[in-house]
Amino acid sequence: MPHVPTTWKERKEADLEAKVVRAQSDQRFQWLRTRVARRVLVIVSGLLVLSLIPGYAQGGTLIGTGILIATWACWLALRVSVRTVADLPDRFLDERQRALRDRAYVGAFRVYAWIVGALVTVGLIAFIMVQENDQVTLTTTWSQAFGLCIFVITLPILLPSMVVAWLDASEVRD
Amino acid sequence: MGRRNKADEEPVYSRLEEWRLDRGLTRQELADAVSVHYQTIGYLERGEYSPSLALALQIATVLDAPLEDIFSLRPFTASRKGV
Repeated sequence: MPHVPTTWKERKEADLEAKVVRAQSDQRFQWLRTRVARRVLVIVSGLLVLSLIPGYAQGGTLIGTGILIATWACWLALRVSVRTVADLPDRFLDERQRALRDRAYVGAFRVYAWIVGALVTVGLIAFIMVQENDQVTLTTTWSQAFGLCIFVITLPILLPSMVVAWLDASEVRD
Repeated sequence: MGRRNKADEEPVYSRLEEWRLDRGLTRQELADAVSVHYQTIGYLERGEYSPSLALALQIATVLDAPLEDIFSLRPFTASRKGV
């Protein structure tokens, strides 16, 4: 007789397993699982996430939030296109998926380090150029600060799925 | 020792599709038998993924075929039926 989950933890685990099985065998959205579609999604996601800072800084909260929603929608499409490989624990992945996921996290870390490093370097150079007697007065709006924060938070959430989508080949039809 | 480029990695040639079809299995059936995703079987057949030794041995067992007739470090010169 199959084990029926009784505790909250068991029910949550069973729920997750059912969701993973559905995502891994889903035959809808196959058009999103070709190399071209995946790479287009990566480019669009990259452009959207990069435009979060100017979106909030120049366009204000409304435009910035619009870009954030579009970015979130792209992230969902990316997850569908790579069958959530970047976000699943080891026990739900086979050896190829685990290898791909691990490569993606190494790549994502490098990209994130480069982008954040470049941002900090540009900031430091700007500070040096505008400083007076080693003092810098920084004036910023709520939208500008929020745009920068949301960019730094959103980027690492998207990057692993973006790298998986970039690396993975088109799926085969069974 | 320098880092190895992906292009420098030794390719593994595969006759998996031929064997699978010969045994009358779908990718999904073979995948279920060796506990991998059916897409992984597709990637193996296209030579886009080199299996671990454990997975290669499992596949050989399920297909009841010699491992070296399914995967090889050298290109297969003829189909396994000698055609």
